[in-house]
Amino acid sequence: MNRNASDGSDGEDGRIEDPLGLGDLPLIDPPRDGWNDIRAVLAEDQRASRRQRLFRGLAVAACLVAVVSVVLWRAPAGPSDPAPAPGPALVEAQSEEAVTGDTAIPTNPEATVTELIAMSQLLEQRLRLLRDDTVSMPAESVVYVAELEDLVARVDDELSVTPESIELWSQRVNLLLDLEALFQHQFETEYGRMASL
Amino acid sequence: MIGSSSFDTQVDEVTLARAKRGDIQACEQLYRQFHRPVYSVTVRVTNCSQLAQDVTQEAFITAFRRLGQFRGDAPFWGWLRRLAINHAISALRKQPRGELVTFEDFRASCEGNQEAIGEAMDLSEALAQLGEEDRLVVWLHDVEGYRHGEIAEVFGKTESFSKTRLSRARKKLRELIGKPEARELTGAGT
Repeated sequence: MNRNASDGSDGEDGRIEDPLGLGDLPLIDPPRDGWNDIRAVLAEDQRASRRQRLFRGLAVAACLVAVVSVVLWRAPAGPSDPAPAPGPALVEAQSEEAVTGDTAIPTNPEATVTELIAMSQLLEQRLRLLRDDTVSMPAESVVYVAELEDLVARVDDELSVTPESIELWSQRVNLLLDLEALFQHQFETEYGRMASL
Repeated sequence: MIGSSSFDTQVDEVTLARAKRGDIQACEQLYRQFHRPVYSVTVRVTNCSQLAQDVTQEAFITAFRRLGQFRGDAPFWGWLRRLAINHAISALRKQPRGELVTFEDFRASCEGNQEAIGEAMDLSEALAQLGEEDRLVVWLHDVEGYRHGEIAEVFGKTESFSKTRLSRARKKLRELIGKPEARELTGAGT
């Protein structure tokens, strides 16, 4: 558009482009300011986009958790695992597992601690997002959250003494998963309420 | 001269970048800078103040939503103007007419030389009196710089249609403003 503004010609055959001077007509004032309507639409767009990002993030995180969980659960069961002879701690842990029916202790504790730490970090991020989006929470849920956060703090204290403890990191991850479930439930409740408006 | 110079203003790059990131205040700055020229163009194309207001709003919303697609290799105003015109053409096709533009709309916006104001208002009124197709063809060709091929695409017709309509529209405008056809010799055969 306006390709030939400089020479005033049509460009298709060099004839005069605007012989009547329509382009010089004065501007017209709009009868009203429409900014507030536009602003409202843009604000709603941003809210929707934020919700979408959150859902996408949660979906990705859920997949990651599922994958890591499968890795953790299946790792010790492999018959071809070149597992080293179990040390006293591992034997003790395995005995405990047999009693409690808990998950198996992985054959590669170092890798597992790393994965648990990664999961823990991921869950912290998700929790931050969920907390930001939580407007309010029932009193009962607030009490649960406080208790769970207290337990996380205790685990953190213990981890400061034994930072490589698989058991402690597992506990931390489980507590964060519980916390996440609480916030997720609250978020879905709020979102459902908004969607129904 | 081609086009309304009011569109041809520099846009602050920082504001543009902020608007691209979704900063509402930056979007408002762009709106304040361009809403008058956008509304003017849409009024000229639609000849209906209510429809032009709706189109202006839609055009800005679309612009802000698609701002990320604006690469900056052409002026922002050109991009926005094209968007507004496309919205106006689309609205013309699907919406019933509302309140037509009146003499008062133009008078309220004019300042300065009385003779020039009078001529501008005559021309504005004459333009408003044209039929929809004639008005759109003459505006797109003479002001927006569309080629006949492009206009033919807008209407889904041939280039001959565009040329005939342009010639007819210019002639009618000259009659309405009472000016002889001295320059029309260069007319619409393009």
